[in-house]
Amino acid sequence: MKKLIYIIVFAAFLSACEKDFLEREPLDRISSEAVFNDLALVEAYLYQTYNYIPHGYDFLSYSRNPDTPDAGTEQVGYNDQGAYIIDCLSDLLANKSGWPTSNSVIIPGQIFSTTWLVGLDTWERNYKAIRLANSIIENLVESELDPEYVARIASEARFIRALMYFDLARRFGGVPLIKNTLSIDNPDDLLLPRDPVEDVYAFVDDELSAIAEFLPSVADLPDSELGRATREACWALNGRAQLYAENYARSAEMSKKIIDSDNYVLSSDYNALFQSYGGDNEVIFEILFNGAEKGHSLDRLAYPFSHRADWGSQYLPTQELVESYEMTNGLPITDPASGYDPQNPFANRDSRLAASVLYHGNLFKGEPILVALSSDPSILPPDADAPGLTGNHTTTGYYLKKFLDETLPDGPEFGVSLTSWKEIRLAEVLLNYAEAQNEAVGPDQSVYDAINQIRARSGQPDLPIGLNKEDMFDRIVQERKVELFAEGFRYWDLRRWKMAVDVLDGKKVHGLFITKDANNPSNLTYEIKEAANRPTYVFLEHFYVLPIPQDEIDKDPNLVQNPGY
Amino acid sequence: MDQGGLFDMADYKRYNIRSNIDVNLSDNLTVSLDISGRNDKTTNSIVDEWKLYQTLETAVPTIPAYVPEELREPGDELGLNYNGTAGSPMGEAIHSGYIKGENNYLESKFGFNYKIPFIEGLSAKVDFSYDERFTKEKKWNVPYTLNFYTQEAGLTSSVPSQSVVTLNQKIEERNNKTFQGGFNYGHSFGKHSVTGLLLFEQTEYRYDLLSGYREQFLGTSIEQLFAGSDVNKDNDGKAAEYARRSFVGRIAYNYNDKYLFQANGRSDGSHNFPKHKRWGFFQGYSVGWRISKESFMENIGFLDNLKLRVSYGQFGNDNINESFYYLPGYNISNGYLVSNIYYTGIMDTGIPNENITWETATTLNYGIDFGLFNGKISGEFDYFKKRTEGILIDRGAAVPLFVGAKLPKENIGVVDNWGYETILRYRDRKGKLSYEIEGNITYATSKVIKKAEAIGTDERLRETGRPFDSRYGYTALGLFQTQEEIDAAPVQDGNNNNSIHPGDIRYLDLNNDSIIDAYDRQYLGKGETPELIFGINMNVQYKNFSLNVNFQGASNYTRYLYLNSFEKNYNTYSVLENSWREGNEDAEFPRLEANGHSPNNSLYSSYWLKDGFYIKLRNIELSYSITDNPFLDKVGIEEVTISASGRNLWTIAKKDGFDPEGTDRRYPIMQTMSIGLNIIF
Repeated sequence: MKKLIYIIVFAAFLSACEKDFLEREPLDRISSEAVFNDLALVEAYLYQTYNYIPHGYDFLSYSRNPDTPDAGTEQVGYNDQGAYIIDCLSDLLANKSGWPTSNSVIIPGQIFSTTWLVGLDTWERNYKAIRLANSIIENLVESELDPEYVARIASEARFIRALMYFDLARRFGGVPLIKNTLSIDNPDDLLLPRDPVEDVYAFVDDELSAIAEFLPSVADLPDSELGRATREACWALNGRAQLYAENYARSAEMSKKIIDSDNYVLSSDYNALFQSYGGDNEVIFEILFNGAEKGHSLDRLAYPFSHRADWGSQYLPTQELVESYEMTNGLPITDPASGYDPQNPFANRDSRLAASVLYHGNLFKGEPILVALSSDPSILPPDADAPGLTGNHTTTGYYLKKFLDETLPDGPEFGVSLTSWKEIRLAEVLLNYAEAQNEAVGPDQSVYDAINQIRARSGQPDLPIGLNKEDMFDRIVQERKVELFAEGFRYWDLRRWKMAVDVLDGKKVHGLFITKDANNPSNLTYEIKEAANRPTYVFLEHFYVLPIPQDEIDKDPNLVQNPGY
Repeated sequence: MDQGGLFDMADYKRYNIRSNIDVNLSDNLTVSLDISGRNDKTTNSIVDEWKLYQTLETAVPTIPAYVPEELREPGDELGLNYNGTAGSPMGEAIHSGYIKGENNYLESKFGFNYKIPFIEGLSAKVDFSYDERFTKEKKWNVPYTLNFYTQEAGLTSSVPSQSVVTLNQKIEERNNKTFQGGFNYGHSFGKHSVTGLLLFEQTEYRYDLLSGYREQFLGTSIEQLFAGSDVNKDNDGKAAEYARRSFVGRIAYNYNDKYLFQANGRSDGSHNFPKHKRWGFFQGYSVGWRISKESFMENIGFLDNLKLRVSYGQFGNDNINESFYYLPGYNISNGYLVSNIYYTGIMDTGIPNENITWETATTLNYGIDFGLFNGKISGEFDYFKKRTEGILIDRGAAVPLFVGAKLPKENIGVVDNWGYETILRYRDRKGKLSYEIEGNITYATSKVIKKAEAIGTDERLRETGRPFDSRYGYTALGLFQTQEEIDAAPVQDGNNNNSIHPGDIRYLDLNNDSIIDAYDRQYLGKGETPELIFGINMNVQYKNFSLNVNFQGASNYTRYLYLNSFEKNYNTYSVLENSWREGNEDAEFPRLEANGHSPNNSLYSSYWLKDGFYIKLRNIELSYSITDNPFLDKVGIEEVTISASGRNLWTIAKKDGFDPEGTDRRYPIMQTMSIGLNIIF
C-alpha cells in the first residue's frame, strides 16, 4: 500500500513538473514576424486601415457579428464623422433628434469632453489611422515580397495617410506632421509642436503626386479590386485638398487631369447613381458595403415614417434647401420671371429636387409620400407622414430621398444598407475645377463647360454667358449647393468661403407645412414656418478653425491652441 | 431555487447537488472525493436591460399601451402600441424573443492525505481538482407588430418592430485543472505548539467558445439554427489558455496561546508575464501577544481576553484583463469590402511592454481583540495601512493622442489605502432568553501616490495625491434667478451668455478670467466608494423562537445623479416637477427644456453630486424550530425549522426616491420576502 501511494505521489509531481508549463501562447493572435512577408496578411492590415476613411452615412455602422454582446449592433470601422451629420450643421439638412446639437458652442474642454456630439473632433481617430499607415510603410521596407506589389500597398497606405492629414488640416489648421511610428520610451520626444497649415497641405500635395505612378489607373483596375485607391483618386483628392488650401492653379491642374482622362462619365440618372451599390462610371473613389459584415444604417435612420416607423426620418431637408433649386427654365424661384407658383411649389423644378427630397406627392417605392395636415382632424385625418404626428415624424415637412435604397423591404434594420458611399465623383471634380480655374484665371470657356456639363445631366439649361468672376463664383456656390447636397460638402464649403457666419449664425431653419381642407381635400394651403425643435444656429468668427482638444494640450504643452479659444 | 424576475419573463432557476466522501484506506491514509454539481437556468428579455428601462421611463403616459381591440389590424392579437417614443415596453420586454442561458458546473476534487508514520504530526497531502463550467446561451429575436395609435389621430400605421427573425447560439466551455501537493506539520510539546506548511500548486485554465448565427427564418415556430436561411449565416470560435504555479511555505509557533508568531512566504509564477519577470516573491509575518494570559493581568477579573497583534503581508496580483502584454502581435479586426468580397482586416495589438510583471500590495495591520465579563462584551479593533505598487495602468493620460498607438499596461501606479475597523459585541442570556448585538464600523480611504498624468495637468485637476476615485468637474453656484444676474456673470456658453436663461445652472469662475471653460474645472471631492461602512446585527432567541435583524449603512461618498430634461416627446421623472420656473424659483432642478438639457446644464458639475448616505434594514428573519420531538424522532427527523424573512425592506437615505446602492437604469435592487422550511434528518 505504501509503495502504491509513493508511486502515485511521485507520478503526480512528475507530471506537474513540465518545464514550460507557464509558457503559453495567445490563441487569438498572429505573431508579427508573419505579417509583412505574407500577401494576404499585408492586405488584411491595409484593409483595416482603409476602414478609417470616413463615410457619410451615419454615425454608426453596424455589423452582424453574432458573438458580440449585442449582436447586430457592433460598430465596424470609424464613422462617427458621418458627413450627413456634418450636413446637419449646415442650413440644408435638419436632424430631428436632440443630437447633433448644432447650437453647440465649441469651447475647449467642454464640447470635446462629450462624445455624442457631431463628430467634429476626429483628432484621435485620424492619428490612429496615420500610425497604421506609417507602420505599413515602415514595415514594408524590409519585406521580401514582390517590389512592385510592395510599392502599391505602400502607396495605398500613403493615400490614406494623405487623406487623414487633409482632414486634420481642414478642421484644425496646422497639426504635428508625423511621418513615422513614434516610440513611447522617451516622453520628452513626444512634445511635438504644430506644423504650419501650409506645410500640411504641401505634404498632402507631395504625397499624392508621388504615389500616383505606383497605383493603377482606373482603366487598368480589375473589377475585383473595386474600392481600392487608384491613380485618378489621388489626383481628384489632391484637386480637392489644394482647393481648400487655396492653391487654385495647382488644384485646377489636378482636377483637369481627371477631366481630360476620359475615364469617367457623368451618370445619366442622378437618383439611381446614389442608390447604386458600386461601380458606377461617374465615381472615382467609393466605399462599398454589403449589408452583412459591413453594412450601414442610412435606410434605417432616414426612411420616411410610413416605411420605417421608429428611429426613422432622422435627416430632414429644410425649406432653405428646397428653395435653392431653380425652375426648369434655369431661373431661381426668387426671380419674378421664373414662373414659380408658391401654391404649386414643386412643379417645373430642377429635376434634382425630385431626386433628392421627398416632398408632398413625390414618389417613394412607386407610391406618393403625403405630408398634409388636416384643417379638421375629426372629419379627415392627417396624412400618414404629416409633420409632428409623433416624435418620429418630420419636423420640416420633407423627408430625405437621396441615397435611400428603395429596393429594401420596409422596416430596414441597422447594418443592412448596401448603397456605396461615393466619396469622390466626377461632378465634384468638375465643380472643383470650375472654382479653382475661376479663381486662378477667371471664367474661361473651360469653366462654363464644366458647370454646363453638370447642369445638362439634370436637364437644366446652360449658364448665361458673359458672367464675371464674382457672378461665376455665385453660380458655382449655387451649383454645389444643389448638386452636392447631403454629401458632406456644404458645411466645409461655407467654412472655407468664410460665409458660415453670415449664412448660419443666429438663423433657424424652416419647413413647409401643408394643410388640406377637411371638406375639400384637394384644396391645399402652404405655409412656411420655422422647423419645430430646431435650435438657433451658432457660428462665431473663431469657429473657422476648431480648437485642439484640451487634453492634448495638457499632455503636450508645445501645442499652441487656435485663436479665440 | 426558483426566483422570478420583475417582469413576466425574467426568471432564474438553480439546482445543486453535492457529495463528499472520505475513506480511510488504512490507519495513515485517507482518500477523499468531493463532487458537486450545479445547474442554473436564466431566462431574460432579448432587449438590453438598459434599453428596457429607458423605454419604460420615457414612455408617454397619455398614449395607451394597447390599441383597442376593434381597431387592431387583422392578425395582430396583441395590439402593442408605441409608447410615444420608439417601441412598446411590453413588446420589447416580452414579445421580442428571449435570451435563455444555462450553466452547468462540475467541481470535483480527489485527494490523498497520508500521515507519515515516523514523524508525529507530519502528513503529506496531494489533491487534484477538476472544475468545469459549460455555458449555453440562446438568443432568439422575433418581431412584434408595433402600432402607432393615439386617441386623437387613431391608428396611423402598423409596422413590424424589426424586419428579420434572428437566432444566435453560443457554447462556452471553461475548465480548470489544479494540482496541489505538500506537507503539513502540526505538533505540540507541552505549552509549545508548532505548525508548518509547504505547498506546491499549479493550475491550468482553458476557455473555448463556439457560436452560430442565422436569420430570416420562415416562421417563428422552429427555434433552431437549421431552420434559418443560408443568407447572412455566421459563426465564430475562439480559445484561450492560462496557467499559474506557486510555491508556498508557512510556519507558525504558539506558546501557551500567549505568544503567537507566524511567517509565510510564497513564490508565484504567471503565464501573463515574460520569462525574466514571471515570478514574484511575497512574504508575510505576524506576531500576537495575548496579554490577558500574563501573570500581571490575572488579577483583573472582568478581563477575560486581551490580545494585541501586528501583521505584515504582501500579495501579488497578475489579474489584468487582456493577457500577453509582453508580446507584439496582430489580431483579427474590422475588414473592408473590395468589389463584392469582404476581406477581414488585422490590427496590431498595441505597443508591447516587455517588462510587465506582478503588482504587489503590502499591508501592515495593527489589531486588538478583547473580551470582558465572561464573554458578555467583546470586540476587535484593527488599523491597517496598505501600499499597492506596480499597478498595471497605461499612460494614456500622459501620452498625446497623435502617437496613435494602443498603449500597453505598465507597472507604474502606486496607491495607498488606510483605515480602521471596529467590531463591538454584547451578548447575554437570561433563562430561556439569549441575545446578542454586534456593531461594526469600517473606515477606509485611499491616496494615489503615482499614476500617469499629463505634464500640463494643473493642481486643481491633479489626481496624484488625492483619493482614488475622486471627482473632477465644474463647481456649481446654484441657478440663475434673473436676467441681470446672467448679464453680469462670466461667459458660460462662449456666446456672451445668449443661450443662458433664468433657471440655468451657474458655475464658478475659478481663475477669474470671466470665461467658464476647461480651466475652471477642479477637484470636487469624494467619489463613489463609501469611506465609511457600518452595520448592526441583532440576534434574539427565546425558547424555540429566534429573531435576527441586520442593518447596514454607508456614508462619506457621493452619487452622481444627473437627470436629463425632456427629450422629444418622451416622459421623464416626476421629481422634475420641482424644476425652476417662474413661481417656483427655489427649485431643485434647473429649468426644463424640450430637447434634453442644454450643454450648459449637462456639464459634469457639483450640482448633481448627492450625498450617498444611507441606512438599510438589510435582513430580518424570524424562525421557529422544533427539536427533540418524539413524533419527529420516529420518522427520523432531528430538527424542523420554519422561518420568514425579508431583505431590503426599509431604507433611509439622504436623497429621496433613488436607491443609493442602485445605478441608473439597471435591474433595481430587489426587496424580497421569503418563507423557508428546513428539515434535518
